[in-house]
Amino acid sequence: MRLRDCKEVLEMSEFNIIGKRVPQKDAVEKSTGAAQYVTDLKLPGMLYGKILRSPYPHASILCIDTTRAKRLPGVKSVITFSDTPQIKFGPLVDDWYILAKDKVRFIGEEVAAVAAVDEDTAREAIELIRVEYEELPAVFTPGEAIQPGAPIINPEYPNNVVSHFKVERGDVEQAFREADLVIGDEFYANQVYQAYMESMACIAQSDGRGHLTLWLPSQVPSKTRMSYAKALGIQPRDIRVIRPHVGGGFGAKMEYDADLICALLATNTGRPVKIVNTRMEDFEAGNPRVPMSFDLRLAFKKDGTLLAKDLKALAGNGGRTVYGPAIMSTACYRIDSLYRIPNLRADGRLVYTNTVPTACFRGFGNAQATFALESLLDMAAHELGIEPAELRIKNSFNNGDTSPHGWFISTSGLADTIEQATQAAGWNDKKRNKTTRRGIGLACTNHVSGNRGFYRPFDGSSAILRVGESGQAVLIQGEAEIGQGQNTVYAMLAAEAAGLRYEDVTVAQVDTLIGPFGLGSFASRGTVLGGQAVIAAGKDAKRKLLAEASSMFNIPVEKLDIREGVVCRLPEQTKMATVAEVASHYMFRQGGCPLTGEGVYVPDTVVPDPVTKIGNISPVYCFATHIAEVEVDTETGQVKVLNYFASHDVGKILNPVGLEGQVEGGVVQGLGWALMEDMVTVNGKVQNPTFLDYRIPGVRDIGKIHVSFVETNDPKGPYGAKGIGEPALNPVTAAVANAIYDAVGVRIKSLPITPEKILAALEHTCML
Amino acid sequence: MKDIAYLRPQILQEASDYLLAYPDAKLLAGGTDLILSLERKKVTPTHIVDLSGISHLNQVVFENGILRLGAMVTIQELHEIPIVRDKFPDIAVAAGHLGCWQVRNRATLGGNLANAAPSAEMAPPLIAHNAKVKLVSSQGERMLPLEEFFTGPGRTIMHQGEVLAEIIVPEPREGLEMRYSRHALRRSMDISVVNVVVHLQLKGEIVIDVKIVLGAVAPTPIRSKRAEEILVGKKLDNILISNAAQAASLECQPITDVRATAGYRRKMVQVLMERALYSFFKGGAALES
Amino acid sequence: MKVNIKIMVNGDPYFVQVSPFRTLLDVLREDIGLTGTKKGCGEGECGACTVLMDGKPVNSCLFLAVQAEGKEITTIEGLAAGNLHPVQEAFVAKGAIQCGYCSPGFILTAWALLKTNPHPTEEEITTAISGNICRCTGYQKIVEAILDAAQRLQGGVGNV
Repeated sequence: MRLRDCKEVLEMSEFNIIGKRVPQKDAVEKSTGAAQYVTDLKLPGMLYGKILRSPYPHASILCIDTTRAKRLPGVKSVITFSDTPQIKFGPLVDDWYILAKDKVRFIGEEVAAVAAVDEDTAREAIELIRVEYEELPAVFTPGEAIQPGAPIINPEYPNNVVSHFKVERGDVEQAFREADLVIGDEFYANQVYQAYMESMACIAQSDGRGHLTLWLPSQVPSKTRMSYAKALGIQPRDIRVIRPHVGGGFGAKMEYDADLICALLATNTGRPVKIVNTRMEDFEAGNPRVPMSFDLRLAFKKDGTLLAKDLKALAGNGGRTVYGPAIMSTACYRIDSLYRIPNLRADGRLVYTNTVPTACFRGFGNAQATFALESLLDMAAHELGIEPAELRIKNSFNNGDTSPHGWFISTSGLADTIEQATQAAGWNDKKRNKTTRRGIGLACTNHVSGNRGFYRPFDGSSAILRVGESGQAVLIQGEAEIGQGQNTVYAMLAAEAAGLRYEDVTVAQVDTLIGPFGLGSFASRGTVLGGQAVIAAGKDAKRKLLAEASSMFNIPVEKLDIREGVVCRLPEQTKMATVAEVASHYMFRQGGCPLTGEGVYVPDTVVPDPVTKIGNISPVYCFATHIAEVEVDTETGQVKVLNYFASHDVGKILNPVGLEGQVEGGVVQGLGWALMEDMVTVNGKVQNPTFLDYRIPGVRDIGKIHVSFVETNDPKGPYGAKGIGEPALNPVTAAVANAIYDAVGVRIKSLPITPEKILAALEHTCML
Repeated sequence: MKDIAYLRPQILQEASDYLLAYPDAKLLAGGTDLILSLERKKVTPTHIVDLSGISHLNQVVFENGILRLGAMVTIQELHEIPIVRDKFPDIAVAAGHLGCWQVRNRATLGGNLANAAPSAEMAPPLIAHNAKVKLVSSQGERMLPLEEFFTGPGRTIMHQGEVLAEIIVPEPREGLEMRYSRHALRRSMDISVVNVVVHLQLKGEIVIDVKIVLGAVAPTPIRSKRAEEILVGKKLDNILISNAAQAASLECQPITDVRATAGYRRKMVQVLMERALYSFFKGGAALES
Repeated sequence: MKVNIKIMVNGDPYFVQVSPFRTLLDVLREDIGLTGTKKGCGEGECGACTVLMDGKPVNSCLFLAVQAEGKEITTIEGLAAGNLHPVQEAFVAKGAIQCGYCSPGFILTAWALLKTNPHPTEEEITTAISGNICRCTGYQKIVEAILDAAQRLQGGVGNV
């Protein structure tokens, strides 16, 4: 790539790279198969680990006999509870042991593990372990689990309620009394599986002196280190996490028990150990979405003004706690920053059940609540005789508003996204010329870009940009690319802020030995929090480059600028040097130390008060409107998505390719949830733990997706940008449900909206 | 499982000998079903007998109005071969619905039939075509109608030592029209909830010949003889179609599983039957692609 | 009981000793060390392990290594020497790659299609790749990339 001349680069638009269509930074190595994922890595002397999992949903462990397994040639280690540190731990609630102590709480719970010279031997050894169980009465649904006399899963929670979230603002009762319309119904958002293509995997290696290295496809490498240190009874400094390429995560790849088992096996054997879930294990003992049922009521004035919202939620935690409590609270009140509702009440309970533990999945509870709220709003719009779009615009938050929970909405593009999506969809035309069995439905969403409550010690991000002697730059940070294109955006931001060429910036894989503590990929936070830190690092590097150039050429800093790797003199627009020349000058003057920009971003977010729940969890808030256009086969109940329109307030378009990719992928994932995905569980056993029976959409199951963006240029976003990952999925289920209602007049309130449910509802309607 | 032996016979008799000698041997054709069963430990064979060394098993011959399909012919070949597409379009279409391209390139006709899944995609059209199967063993060979081949889910009439060698399909009579349709919950890569094959010949508006085969709605693929009786000799009209479709949906014996309830399957039989029968009004354009 | 086989992978002969039930996928990844072929499900339902056998796409997880004797296997590593293959270029340029775990399988399936059908319709493309699951992209950019690859293979520039 040639370097441009100064005139050219200085007269370019405001941005050199921001806003351009940029393919993923590592797309080339992914296209050739060269990109290495944890599942691909093989270390010298590596052993293979396997986990013996509970076949019972709830049982006492009477005894475990590992004698035969230990005798099998090729087996290097067999461990049970007594071989573990026996410390209780957990990301939010200390209800985990690395291996089950005296009882199991779900089918798939980890009971014992082996390490052997190859996978077949490990598998065989697992089958040789004898465990005697005594089955205990089990409970599988949250509804049953809260009944008096239900079997108790964790004695520390005698009513099975893990967490109970309550919040109230204004006077809800009075608002309902005074309302012109009160509307309420029950909704169910089912348990679904993230279905990332690379199943959970780990490689662990011990140096024999108590130091562990873990290769993890982790969304939260640094945070994982803290949780794992506690579980293993060691210090965080004793754990190094390296994150190679990651084959998708969507929320699932946070703390995972198999990583710790792998660590123990590696410590025991002194050899590297690899554990990779089979797809079936991943279905049965992964981290699926928290299922939730809602009882939701809304109160309106005749003109559509929202007066009150009253939400009761009941959610399934599974047999031990991952992130359920935070997901439950999110479902209870995050959505209150979407519409102005002065009177609010939420009461949500998260309940133990003898099923697989539930966790984060794109949308983090807000996706579940959005299905309920946006379905009920559609029902209200019909009752009120107000257009669905108008009802939402009327109640939407505006720039500078603060929600009743204290969340400061610096910018809201909600109304603009409604406008843009309805225009793109030809909403009015399609409404006027409605044909039978075809329908169109709209749903909105809000989301955060970061979550101050997720990790109490701090919020924010940091980055280091090291500019070497050839002008090549390496960005070192602790945030976690998991396939979404985050590193590409970071390289763009670094290049833009530092004045480098995009192609000169590489982003290092995360290694906690080297990089800063990054909170990681959750809460759609990467672009905003990590991005601001990257910009800060870029600016710091640029400041140092300018200072160096200034002293090299004896020109005041104010008369110099750097763009696209070229140092220019102002206002003459003459080229003084390349960044490479300046950087190498700096480096050799500094005893070989490369020029390094450091960037720190600490947002002004506020941890929600534990009692009042008042806080402000994200620096910026995102908004979106989705419209689904469907055709329903009234004889088979099958739904065909014809077109799908998604408009997102992204603050500022950084990389259109990445944004479109996130939205298209989120929409398809949402369509899967809306129409086909369901973890069918009978007596705690997943009935469809394969991609054949757990249907995720294939290329032929989706319609044409039309994506558009609204730029609100949020003053707190990196160059004005907001997050995108989760809002891309949140509104899909409701948009589809609303479209189906428009098409054939049946309202399905329980996900997924299967052909059988539609047929049953149609038959019911006919009989009336 | 580590001790599985691998055998690759060159002739059919040799394969049969192995099966007789080793009662727990398993035949390997394309492997798309066998490998899954091995992986899930549904089968624990002592020997794998690979049929790929037997050269003539992948032949397709059309002679004197008879189509002879070797058991090792792949599903993708069935989907693509011009003679099949031309003269047996419902077979070609059914083949196109099995799994995906990658699976169709490996899966074989013999494997699809011999595994005897109630939803086996290839069985209904072949039964409707009066296909016969040739079973070979070291004792000799026998031919029987495919319709009699299946005895239950995963079970066939084959004896120990018999190998399904060939499927023989007579060319359909002039004027016979064929419809294959299926209902699945995903538009590809999915097992049918129901599949329906209707072969029908009209003279004017009168049905002079009809054959109806249903898949995935009984322990084996089944003929709906009741529906056939209702239709034959009658004028094809709305009431007749409705009656025949209803008869078929009553005649099948579906189960409830993770894909669909029995009730839904019955309804889908009725819907697919009605749609198939109505399509004969329109001059036979609508073979589902 | 292990079997000695010779398989041709990307034009190179490999002599390996395998158990009869060992899949081609495991041999490629573990024994030969070609990890570009991914294991997504191990059950033939996701297409991540797609390789070409005599030019045809197959799931290497549903393929016993012993069956590969005498066949020409092409993995993603063998698609292009040095520079990117036009199909790879198109996938990169069109943003059809996110986490990348499904990409080798999609790219090989697409190439198998374009070799025999240089001007596929969208319908033909979606039929060809319906056995490949992608959980990140929503497929739209993958279909665009295959259409673009068709142009590139025709010597057209392909709009980047």
